[in-house]
Amino acid sequence: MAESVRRNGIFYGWFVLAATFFAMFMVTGARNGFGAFVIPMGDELEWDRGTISLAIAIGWLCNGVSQPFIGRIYDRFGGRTVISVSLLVVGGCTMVLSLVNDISVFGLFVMDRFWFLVIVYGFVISVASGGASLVTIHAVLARWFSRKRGLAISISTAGASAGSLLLVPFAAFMIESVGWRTTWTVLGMFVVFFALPLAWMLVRNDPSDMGEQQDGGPAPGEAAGGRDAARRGPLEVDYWRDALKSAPIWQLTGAYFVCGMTTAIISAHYIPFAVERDVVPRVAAVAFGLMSALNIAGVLAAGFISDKVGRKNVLGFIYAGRGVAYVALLTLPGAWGIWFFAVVAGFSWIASAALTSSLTADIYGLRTMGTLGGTSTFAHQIGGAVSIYLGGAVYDVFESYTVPFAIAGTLLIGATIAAFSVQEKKYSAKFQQAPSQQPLPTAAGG
Amino acid sequence: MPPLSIPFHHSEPGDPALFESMFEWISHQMDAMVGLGPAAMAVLLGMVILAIPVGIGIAYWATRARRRRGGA
Repeated sequence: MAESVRRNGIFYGWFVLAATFFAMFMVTGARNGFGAFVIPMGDELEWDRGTISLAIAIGWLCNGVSQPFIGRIYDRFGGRTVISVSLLVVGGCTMVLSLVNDISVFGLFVMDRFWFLVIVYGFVISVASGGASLVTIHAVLARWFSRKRGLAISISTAGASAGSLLLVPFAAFMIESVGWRTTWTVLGMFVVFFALPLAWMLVRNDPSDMGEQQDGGPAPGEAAGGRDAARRGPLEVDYWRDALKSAPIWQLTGAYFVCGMTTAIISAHYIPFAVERDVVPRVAAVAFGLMSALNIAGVLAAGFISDKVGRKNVLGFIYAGRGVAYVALLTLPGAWGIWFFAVVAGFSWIASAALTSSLTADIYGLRTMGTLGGTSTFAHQIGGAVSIYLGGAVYDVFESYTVPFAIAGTLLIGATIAAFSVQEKKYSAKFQQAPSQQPLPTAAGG
Repeated sequence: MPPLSIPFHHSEPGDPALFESMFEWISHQMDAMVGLGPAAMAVLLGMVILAIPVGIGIAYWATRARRRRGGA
């Protein structure tokens, strides 16, 4: 299996991309599919909406907090191992979710069904899914792609949206047909018997594992040393904390923090805001669905364009566009604002994730990309948690979403400036000409 | 837990109320367009989902076999 197929004309990196796309598709789709289980599980297990939401929220927090550690593990052990173990645990535990009930633990005590859910979903699945997340998969792809890094990372990111779009209705129809317990089992089987073998079979940590080079080899007219230079970042460091002494990581992470704030607050408070503006919830739900679909188009377009013209300007325009969408949401009357926001913000929703990862790899290289990506993602998740809480708290004070949404929109000005002010031509390997004399990174995955 | 009830009511991975409303709409639209029941729709969507890894696997094996036939 460890034979390269490059000599037949297909760069092996595309197979790595395909396998990671499906891993992202299944892991994110299965997690987002939890929404479909809320009502049937609640009805059978006598849980109210808040109880199940608590388990989901615990999972969200565990996932966010674990990201820097998962990134560190990736840097040490490489993507193939981390992604495969992640898929095995996520798939196995997803099947275990079909057994949620009060259980006797070695005859010593009875574990309440809620804690069963919290431990299996809120902790184990949520932490393990970080191993097949944007952080690790982007880091793997950054090793395989340089010239088309933006596009490759964007395609894998689109897998997350595509997974939600297909797996969520699939889960809903399955639940209606065979019940929620069987549906959990089937979803877990999809992960274990399809995503896991595909990842183990096709994912390789580095092009050298297949006797290949990044991008399949130098571009026409490019010196071989240029490949080596592209694999290193101009600000590459031996230890990830040293990266904190440079400006770009703060600019990118700060903007990504705002990204988390401005997406999470919408996911939590979009429908209540729509109701406040006399829009029926179903219309808002459909607009939110449209926004999810436009994610895919937006991230693919952003990745493709960023490979051609550079990344920081595209990232800046994405944050600026989202800011305009917030202005429209607050100023356009009734449903007009809801729909305008869905279309404009939809294009920007996950494109920022792909561009932040690509730019981090371009600037800081591959050696510590897992940890740096995990740290940025942690900031993103914290921003989301803060905004969800403050969105509700500020609403309680003003009895309106205008103030929290205006604050979120205003923060996007800072994110836009931070993105535009990254000195990409100075710090990005994409714009470096001379090959570096430093040795290549030798860690398994980074 | 009043301070926690706000962030914990709706958070990732999805807003339950939003999903509930969206599922109903998607289900209704699909039923109207395709005229299939939930079991048939589940099978149809399941086949579409599984076609992705199967297609990737076939593409890989076909490429590998072609290279071998080429006498590499």
